[in-house]
Amino acid sequence: MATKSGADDFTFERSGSKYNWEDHYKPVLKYVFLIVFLSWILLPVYYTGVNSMKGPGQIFKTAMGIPYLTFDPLPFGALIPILLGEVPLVPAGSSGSFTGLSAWRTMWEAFPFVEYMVATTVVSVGTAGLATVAAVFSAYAFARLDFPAKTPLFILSVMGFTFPIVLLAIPIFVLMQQLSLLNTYLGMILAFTAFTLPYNIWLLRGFFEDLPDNLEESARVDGCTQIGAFFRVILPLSRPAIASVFLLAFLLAWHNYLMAFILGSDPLHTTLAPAILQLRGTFFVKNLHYIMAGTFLSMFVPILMYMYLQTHLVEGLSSGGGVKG
Amino acid sequence: MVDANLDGLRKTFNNGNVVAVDSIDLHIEEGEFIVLVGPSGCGKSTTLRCIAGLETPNDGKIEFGGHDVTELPPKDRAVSMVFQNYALYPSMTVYENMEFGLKMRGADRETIDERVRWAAGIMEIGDLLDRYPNQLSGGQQQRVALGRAIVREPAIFLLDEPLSNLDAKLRSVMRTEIQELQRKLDVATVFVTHDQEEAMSMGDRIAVMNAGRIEQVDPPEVIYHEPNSLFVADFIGSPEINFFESTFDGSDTVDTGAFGFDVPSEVATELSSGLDGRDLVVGIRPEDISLAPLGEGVIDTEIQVLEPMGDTQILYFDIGDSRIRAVVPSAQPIGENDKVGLSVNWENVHFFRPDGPSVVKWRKATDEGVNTDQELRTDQRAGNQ
Amino acid sequence: MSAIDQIGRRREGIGGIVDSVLEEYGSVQGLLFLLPTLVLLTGIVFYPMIQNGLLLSLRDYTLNPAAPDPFVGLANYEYWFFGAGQALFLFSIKVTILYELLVVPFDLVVALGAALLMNERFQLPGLGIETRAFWRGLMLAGYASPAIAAGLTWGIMQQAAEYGIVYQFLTQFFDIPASGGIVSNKPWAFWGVVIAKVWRDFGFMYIVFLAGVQSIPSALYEISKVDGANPIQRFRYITLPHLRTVIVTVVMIRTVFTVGKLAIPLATTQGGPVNYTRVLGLVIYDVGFGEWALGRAAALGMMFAVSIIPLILLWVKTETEDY
Repeated sequence: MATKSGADDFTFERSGSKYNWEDHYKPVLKYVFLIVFLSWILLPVYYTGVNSMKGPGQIFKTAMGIPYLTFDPLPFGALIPILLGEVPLVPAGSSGSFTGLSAWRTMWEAFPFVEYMVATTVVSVGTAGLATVAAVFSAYAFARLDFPAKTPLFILSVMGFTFPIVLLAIPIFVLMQQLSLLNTYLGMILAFTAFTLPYNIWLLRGFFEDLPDNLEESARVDGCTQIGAFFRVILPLSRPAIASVFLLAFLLAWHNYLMAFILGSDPLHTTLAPAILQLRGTFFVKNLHYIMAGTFLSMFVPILMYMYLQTHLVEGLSSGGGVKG
Repeated sequence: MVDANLDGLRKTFNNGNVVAVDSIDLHIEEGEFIVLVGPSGCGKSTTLRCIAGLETPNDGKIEFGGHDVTELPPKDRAVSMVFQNYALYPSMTVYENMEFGLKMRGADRETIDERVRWAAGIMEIGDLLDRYPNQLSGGQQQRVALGRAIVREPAIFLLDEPLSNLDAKLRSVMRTEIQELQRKLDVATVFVTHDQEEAMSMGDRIAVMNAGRIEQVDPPEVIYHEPNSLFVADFIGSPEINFFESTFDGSDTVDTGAFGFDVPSEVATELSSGLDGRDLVVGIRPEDISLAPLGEGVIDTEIQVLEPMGDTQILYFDIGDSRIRAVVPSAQPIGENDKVGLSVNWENVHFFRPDGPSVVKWRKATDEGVNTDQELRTDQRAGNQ
Repeated sequence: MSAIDQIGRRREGIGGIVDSVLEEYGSVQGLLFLLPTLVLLTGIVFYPMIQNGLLLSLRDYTLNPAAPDPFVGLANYEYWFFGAGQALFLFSIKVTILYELLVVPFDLVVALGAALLMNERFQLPGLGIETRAFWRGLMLAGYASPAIAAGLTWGIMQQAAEYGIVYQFLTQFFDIPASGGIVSNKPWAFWGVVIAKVWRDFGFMYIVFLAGVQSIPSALYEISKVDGANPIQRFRYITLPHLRTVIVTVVMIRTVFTVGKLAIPLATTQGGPVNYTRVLGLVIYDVGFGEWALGRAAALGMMFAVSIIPLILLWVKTETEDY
């Protein structure tokens, strides 16, 4: 009898509301939140994207609308050169026009966007290369080797990266002036390395620390020296991490405004970020679509890179590392 | 064929504050399988790493086949090693993992290929050669790690807890396989484990380590039947040995507090000369305690817990402050809370000094033949596993 | 090659000598590995910081590189503390602190929300295709954009014009003056900068939080469901405690990294109206590279550096604790 009455102590009923909050509202709510979030996040990208294809008149009329033709449809064949921006649909300056990619084309040819892109790419690749190569060695040393004054040296090495760039800007500007490296790619690469290198050291040290200890030991038993174990075993398996760090340094250089601005007063030797800010002075309101086109182009490449990087980032950071912005 | 010799090996960490290995002498014969066993932190892995060359000893000498290798880096020692987590190179295929050691030593392509395929054949991983380590199961990784180690015909074969990441069933399979492999290779092997059962079932000789020292090096039967210290007796054997803190009256009686018993004169003589004072510890293996009718054993007590193990059962009693274990055949019809008498197979009782060292084993003093009984014990152990 | 022959076989020639030197002096390797980094950092950080940063703050910088910069002692510091720069100095400190106090918490809340949302599954109904990875990537659009481009775009969207869509939207709820819109009126300009800054920056915390949320064992949520916890309780008692250390670290990092940044205020409002959004970094930038008073700018920079050193040391301490 005693065992039987035990069940009477429980009531097997739903507690609280009749409907399960989660099952009913969550699937809907999460999409609502997703839409709200994404419309905020994608707003500037959309805004610059669509408005780079409109004439000023259309921007003023409907900034959020998609570009449209204000005239009667033309024969299909005539649309292609317009879309490519070779022939403006109506003379520039008149209102209500669909400009196709002509603003992009203007950017490309006249601004001179191509030169900025080249300069930015050269400087970013150079910076990322220099910072990554140096960081691979020192991060490995900090993570896996023993030597005197390790901790102070580590703090000194990563301090540079917590230091606001504006504080480094003046000393580096004067240094580059003394070395006659203003307006050169080399000067800019060296200056960008000042803040990308400590960042790469920090990230890679975390990665190396998480590797199992036995890998090098196993390699040494297999016949490597300690340095041989690093080159033959650790480096090959670190390729994905090194690639991520390289890309992040690349983007850090791509994004930097301040250093590029002070070191590259010559328009052909500066990078995209200062060039974009120049757009505001060069064109402004009357030719808003040019600004939009330049801005959109400067966002496009890094956004694609980040979308590619994002899974690696999340994995790489789960050990508590971080990314500098 | 190479033998290895450790002479006064000493290794400290933290500027000498932590003594991991404290003056170890050990000789490993050609082709011998020796197991280093002990609780974690006893220095067994450090000893192995010194043999491998991954640690440089602070003192002492290591010789392989008469060559002094103490100062040589691992790559010059011709050892091969299997790590607990296998340490397979993630960016290389199984084949590349296995050929790595040969490549580093400058072997030519054909030799490498021949050796790798030979080792893969032995380890039965021939069809895995193109895979990457992360595509393998734990057992397969283990086989690759072993294969990688045997590819090179090592002078000494070192294994650092290679089975502890495997599940129980796979572990017992691999145990046998490693033993067979070692016989086949006929190479001096040092195997580190914290699992006494693994040690007992695998080693030609077992070195029981405690706090940086080797307590005893002997074949498994000797370790089990003639432990030379409290620690060895306690560490080896499952369920563990029962200890009774006792006093010896100097003539012929030992008193455990809960019960007393008389010892023959040969044992008494040994005890008198071996003990500092009157205190001693009596060790009785659970198999040497059997049930007796009430009043007919050395003591009557109540069964607290009964664990059926198949053909045997483990009984737990509370005697004095200590919990006592006994292993009896499961045929005996008993249950928890039953009152029973306990009798002891006195010949197998051990006497220890309270500070550790063994004084004497009953039968050794009475000088009876050891052999017959040993076989009986071994059988019983096999039954327990 | 039998085993016994291999023992003690070493490389011949130079290689063997190099090997034995490196084995003998193990710590040499570490320093060798460190050499490129130390040379680079000494050349482009340590040396210029002292030579051109500290010493320049005691000089009056002249644009002509050939002319010597006259030594002026502490005059540059005096300028900021007691001279004509005092008002701007004090005001921009206030702006900087307020900016930090708004940006970092907003960053935190938005990033945490985004991370939690992106930890949900987003299966296309009917098709069973998981689209989460795509949305996760899109969430980083802001973080991926150059700060200058972000600030410029938000600045344009916040103008009081037909195309100023953010202004158009917000003016329905708030009384924002039509002349100048958000970017040229107090206190709206400040919020305008904060919105742009959070949009640009929250991606950093979002990535870290997403990694943190993913590392929470799902068994914890399951057991708490068995125990009858609702979603809010689960957030409060499982998610939040699990992320606590991550949150503390990230807030600290963010505080340090936001403090000297100037691109967003520069591109959004140019520091205006008047000096209303002129953070310290922007003051240094303007004085240094607008007025070319590099001595004064260096002096301000030095004071700035000294004041954030405690923050940096705090960060370094947490970073090296497990070291």
